[in-house]
Amino acid sequence: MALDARAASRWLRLASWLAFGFLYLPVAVLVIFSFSASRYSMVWSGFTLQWYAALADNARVLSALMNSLIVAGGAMLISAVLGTAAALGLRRARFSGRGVLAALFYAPVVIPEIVLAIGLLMFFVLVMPVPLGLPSITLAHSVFGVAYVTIVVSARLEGFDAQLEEAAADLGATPWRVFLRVTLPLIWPGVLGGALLAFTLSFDDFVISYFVTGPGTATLPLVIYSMVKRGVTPEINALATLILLVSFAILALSIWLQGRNITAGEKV
Amino acid sequence: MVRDVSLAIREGEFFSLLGPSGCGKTTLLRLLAGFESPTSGEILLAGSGVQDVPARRRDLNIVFQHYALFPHLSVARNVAFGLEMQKVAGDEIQRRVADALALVRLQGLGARMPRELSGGQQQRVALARALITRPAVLLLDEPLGALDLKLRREMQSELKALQRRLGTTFVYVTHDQEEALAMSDRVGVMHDGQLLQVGAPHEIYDRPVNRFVAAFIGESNFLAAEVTGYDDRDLIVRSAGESLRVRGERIAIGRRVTLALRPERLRIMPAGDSVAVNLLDGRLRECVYLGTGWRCEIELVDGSVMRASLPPQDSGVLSVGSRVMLTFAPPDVAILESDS
Repeated sequence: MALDARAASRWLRLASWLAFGFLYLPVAVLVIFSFSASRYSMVWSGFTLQWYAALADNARVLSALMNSLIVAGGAMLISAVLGTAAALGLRRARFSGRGVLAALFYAPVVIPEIVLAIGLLMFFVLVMPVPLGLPSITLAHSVFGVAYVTIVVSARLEGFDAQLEEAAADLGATPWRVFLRVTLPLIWPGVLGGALLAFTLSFDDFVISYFVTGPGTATLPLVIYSMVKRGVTPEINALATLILLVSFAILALSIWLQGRNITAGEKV
Repeated sequence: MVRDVSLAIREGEFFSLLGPSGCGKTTLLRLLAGFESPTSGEILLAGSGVQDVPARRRDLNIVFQHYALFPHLSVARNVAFGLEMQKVAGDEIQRRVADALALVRLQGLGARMPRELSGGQQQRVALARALITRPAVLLLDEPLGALDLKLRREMQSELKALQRRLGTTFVYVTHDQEEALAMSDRVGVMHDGQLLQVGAPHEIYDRPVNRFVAAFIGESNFLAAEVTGYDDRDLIVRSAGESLRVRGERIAIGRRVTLALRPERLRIMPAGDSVAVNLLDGRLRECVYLGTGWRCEIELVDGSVMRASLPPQDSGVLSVGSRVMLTFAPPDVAILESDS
């Protein structure tokens, strides 16, 4: 029995390593070849940082980076405000359709992105004439951003003691000041975590951006795609590595914020 | 759920709402605080209707059962909250926070965070936070419920002393009858969303209006009885085969009533002794010594069991199994409506 258990645990460990490798080996290859001196991305011929230097001179990449930052920043702000409002509203909702409503708020997370993209394009063209370009991409990214912020803030509100808000109101705080002085400080890690998540998702998004962008406007993923059409260069590897780094950093920050326990109306 | 409650709380009194959990006492408190709205009826504060006034503008503050201290604010900032909302000047806030912390004996702890304090200390912070704006009424929702017994006793007398010193009206919700009796000027007993009886602790204890109050506040023995007559002072009733004299207002002959007898008002006498009125035959079933006295169970001839508390020196008659007589004075009985 003990032998079987040990063998099983060995297999389990192997399976874990395989899964981990499956996830990260492609990424590792990309990162490694971003430092390759060869002009061809699949050939290793010595270490260099020249591709990173080249990026800094690439006007197209830099302007796309700026666009991506504007879009992700805008989508983050819109998502944070609307998502927090939605989470607070859902918590107070006491009607019978509450579960359905909550599920509808989360839907953009599971709806296939291509469907959302087509829908948004039609919406922007036919219903709400938003200029196609940065405004339309920002709004489109806010759609799924709101969903993520709603989810994260709702989770934060699970442990929230509503009596704290009553106590504040009892002591003379207006609803707005209750929110600013008590509710928001306590759910802030959730809001920030959700907002950062919305930022990364927007920064990385390709499909929706591709559909709702206008002529002459490109975000970073769109530029990468058009560059890749002419072959994967080490420069692209370098760019992808940088994006990866930023995404990881923001993700880590978001996870750390959500785990942090400065807060919560835990009853003592 | 609260139904049909009509209650006037006097200025400056310590009023307790007492009842088992789920009786509506907390709901009533939340109605007063403004967290719930009545479907009908009026709530007056100092003579003016407040049922449409939001909680923040009612001149009363609440101390919650679990304190509800703001976990992200220091003790001093918690206490200052009400004054900050009133936009009181900074130096005055500082002075009054220091005063309030001194009032609850927490000097010097202003910089701590709530989670760094013990339960009793958190309770005091909640008290200081609620009192600092000098509300006309302080509402307390089982504020000592989470404390251990010893600390609870201490806080009881401290709260009572504080209330006396400040002269603030306290409305205190509790399910602990001892606490309610010990602290209050008046007590309102609630059950099933209704206010059953309001009165001073001794009135509630000695003259309960019904069987629920008699059983919930302290302990009572109940005897079914029928009114057979009366004279100048007493009613004559028939119960357990005996004719008994009880003090009370006249009730029509033939009415069925319930007699409520407190264990400590009963006395046990050896069988055959017949110097007193109100004698009930019985057999001593059990007697235990509690230090402060004896607790005995006496089985009456009709099979019902009465509990009696006797002072420690009354051990002469206490041989288990022997025949004894129970006796009580006519004024020591509460006459209740018979259960329908």
